[in-house]
Amino acid sequence: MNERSRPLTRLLEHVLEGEPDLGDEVDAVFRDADRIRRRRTRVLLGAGAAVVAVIAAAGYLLTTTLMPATETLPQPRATVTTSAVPVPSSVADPVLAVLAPVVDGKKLRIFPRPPERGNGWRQYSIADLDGKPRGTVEIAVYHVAEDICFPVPTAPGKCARTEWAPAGVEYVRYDADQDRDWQVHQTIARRITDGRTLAVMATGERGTDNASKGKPGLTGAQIEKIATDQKLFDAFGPDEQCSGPSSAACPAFRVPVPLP
Amino acid sequence: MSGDDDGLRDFVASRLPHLRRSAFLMCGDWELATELTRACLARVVADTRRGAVADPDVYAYADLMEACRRRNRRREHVFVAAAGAEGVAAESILLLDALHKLAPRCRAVLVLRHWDGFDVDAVGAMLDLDDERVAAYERAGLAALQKLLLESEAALSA
Repeated sequence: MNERSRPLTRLLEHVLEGEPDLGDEVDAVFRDADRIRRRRTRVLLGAGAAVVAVIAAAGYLLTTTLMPATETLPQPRATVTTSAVPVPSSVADPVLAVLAPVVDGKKLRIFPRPPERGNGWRQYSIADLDGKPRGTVEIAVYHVAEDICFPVPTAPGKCARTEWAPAGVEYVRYDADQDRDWQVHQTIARRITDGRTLAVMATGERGTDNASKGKPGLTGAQIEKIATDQKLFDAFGPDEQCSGPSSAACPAFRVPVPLP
Repeated sequence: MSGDDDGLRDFVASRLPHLRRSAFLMCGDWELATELTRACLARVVADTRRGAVADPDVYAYADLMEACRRRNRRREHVFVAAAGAEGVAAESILLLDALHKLAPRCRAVLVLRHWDGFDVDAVGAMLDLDDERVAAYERAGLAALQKLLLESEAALSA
């Protein structure tokens, strides 16, 4: 520990005032340890019994297969899926307030794109000053308390090496311009102090089969700047996140955020 | 440490108060901290007896931090004083509240580094993080804690 850490250590000492007595906790630890040992023994015996039962069942099944079978297999039941509905709102948009200066700097315009918002996500259209469409920007927020493995699109199962932005924001940038119909600049950023994670993606016009029209209105560097801006993390409501019942309405990202 | 009961008893008696304080800083509740520490040390004792523990300190703190994380996954900003305890200073409550607004892993890094005094290597081993990540969590955690405390003080004085 260094000099810098001393003030926190002193503060923590005060927090611990009023600590209750330990009593006979040491004996209680050893009683619990004996209980754990007994439980493990029981589990071991139970597992042995289960293995015996499985062997007996397998023997029974093998025997019955040698006899004529008249049973019919039960038909699988259809499952019912439910869909969730996002709750739109049209109050002042702090997310747009973060995006607008960057877009204005490129002499473009940005405006909400219907369906423009839901729980934990927003989407916007970008156009040039003549009104010609220049694609979309989609943003979603997640809560990822644990460390996440940032995906590597070309190597599933591997974790990308993260970059660091100020104030404890780790991020990875994904740029894909090979598919002329879906050119993407995306950044996934996670604030490690509270696990809030943002995915920000700019795409060009889709389905035009034209590399120029399909080019996103914002560059990868601009998307990175937006996604790592502390103001954007705080622009969503504290309880907003793209998970749970309403997550079906969240935008589909080129590189999805891996959720636990 | 061998698996003999005298050695284990000395280990438990010496580590129990420290572990319980760390658990309290992680969960903010003395009763829960006592329960988690007892369960953690019981596992250390049981596993040491069967020779499955290489470093009991690393094992104990790693196990305790994981137990606190599981029990406190939803960050409830609650401080529970010990039964019969005298009044707790407002500053202490504010500090605990600020600590509990941090993500569990970030809080664990601050507690292990700044309360328990472990070095970066040991904290990395306990939390299964590399050194760079421990340093990043520590820097960001200290900055966030400072910001939260300043906000709390401003709110109190308003």
